[in-house]
Amino acid sequence: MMHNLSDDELEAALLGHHAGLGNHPLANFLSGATDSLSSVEAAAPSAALSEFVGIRSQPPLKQQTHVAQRSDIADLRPAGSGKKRKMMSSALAFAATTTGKIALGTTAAVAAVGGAQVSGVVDVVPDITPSTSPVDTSTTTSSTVAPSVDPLPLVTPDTTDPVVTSIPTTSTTEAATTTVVQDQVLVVPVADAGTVTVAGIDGVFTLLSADPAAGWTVESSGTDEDEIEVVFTDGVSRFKVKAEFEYGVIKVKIYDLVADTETVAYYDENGNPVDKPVDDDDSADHDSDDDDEKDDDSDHKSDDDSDDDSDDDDKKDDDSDDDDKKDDDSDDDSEDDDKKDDKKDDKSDKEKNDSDDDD
Amino acid sequence: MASRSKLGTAFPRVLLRAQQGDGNAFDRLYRAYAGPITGFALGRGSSDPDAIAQDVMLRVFQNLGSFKGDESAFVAWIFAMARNRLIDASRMASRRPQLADEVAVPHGETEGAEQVALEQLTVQDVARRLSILTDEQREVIVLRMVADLSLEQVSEIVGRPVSAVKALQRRGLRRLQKEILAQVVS
Repeated sequence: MMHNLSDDELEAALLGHHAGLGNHPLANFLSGATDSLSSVEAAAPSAALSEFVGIRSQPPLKQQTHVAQRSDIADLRPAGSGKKRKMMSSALAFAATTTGKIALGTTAAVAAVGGAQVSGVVDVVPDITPSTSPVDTSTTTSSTVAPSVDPLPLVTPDTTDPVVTSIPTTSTTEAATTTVVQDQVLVVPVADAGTVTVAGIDGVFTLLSADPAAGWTVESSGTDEDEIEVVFTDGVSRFKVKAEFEYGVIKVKIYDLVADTETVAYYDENGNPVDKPVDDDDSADHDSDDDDEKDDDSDHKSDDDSDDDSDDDDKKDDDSDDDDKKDDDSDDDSEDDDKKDDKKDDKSDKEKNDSDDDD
Repeated sequence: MASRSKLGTAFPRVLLRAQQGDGNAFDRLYRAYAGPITGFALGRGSSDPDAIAQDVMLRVFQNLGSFKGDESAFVAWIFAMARNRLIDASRMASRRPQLADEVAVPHGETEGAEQVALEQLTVQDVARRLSILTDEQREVIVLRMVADLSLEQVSEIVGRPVSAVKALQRRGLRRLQKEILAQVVS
């Protein structure tokens, strides 16, 4: 069976559904490749992993109510107004509970970090992982190679990253064998640019860290009264995130400074997404899916975004080398990806020649 | 074809015990998923797949307490982390094409003859074959193969629309088909 498989047949072959495909070489390869890659035997756990498992293999600890101390947290907020102090009651509740929720941010941000979340809310259990890194609340500048941002529930900083997302406490009431009870924080994903971690500690709305994703840097960060602002850039795109307590909720705005769009989200003191407060009179607020789509599209100009899955376009595609260039012109896909395919074709031909020579 | 659902109905119980600090549960999770992550890294052309897998599993265990979901969501979560680690690793290393003889061979793996029949393919064969694809095409195809993720899940992980993921998959599979059929004919 040597014919070219249709798109449906290709999908079926990839998923291992070989009924009707006979002994097609591609189906055979995909089946064998899947078995091979899925059955790789993992190496023995590393020393770090074994040590971690050994530490965690302890009897379950009872949860303890804990209120963070401010001794290690720089208070960046000047003396607040009376109105703002009242609004901080939400922050006190936010900081006082031991178990809280971490919200996942705007729709655009959720799309960027991937798939474990179901309802968009994840429970946070106090972590007993020891934290020895100092909290850095100053302006953050990243190295030229910034680590990728793992999907939520939590971002674990790269070992070279000076910024942390946990708050070490100096309380001596903890048992000697335990280490740190982590206060809950709000981790706000900012599209593909990175994350911003904020927390309300003893009534102070604090920027804990601004963690850029790979290829991004923190252009600026800081606080003004009770508002936290961070700007990420990758040299082309720029995102600004502003977070503040307002009207009893946490208001997070993410601006795409290039596309000139913004999204706004609101969270309660436990980090749960909530509706826009009635008193919020910011007329520019909007959270439409169209804007989120626009954010995604503007970040991926070279993607196959405009790909048309219609049968007409599919039938135009031809697998021969000569016709590939013609198809690239008539296809709806962007030229960048088509050029990559051409380069790969050339590369594979060269490698094929090299391997033939070796043989 | 081997089942990609590693723990099945046991997953909720194993997850809960691991979140409570049960060392045996950690061990089960490691044995279930460290191998496929290694395979994913190999399929992506990583030069140190074991290190990638170790790093990912450590991060998984560190953040396990805050995970909530079924096994499918768990798989999507850990492979998203694996993808990020691969991106970090590739940015740290100097960029050069992965030639066939530079593909990492995992411990215990032996070289075998290149073939497209139904016999067991070696990991090296698979990686070499997949190296003709663009990074984006290979990423999508390997995620679907090894992690058994849906198009929507892959779309969330790679940060592209579903239509773009489908296009990458289609182009990659057609490219593989062309290469394999040409070899069979010759």
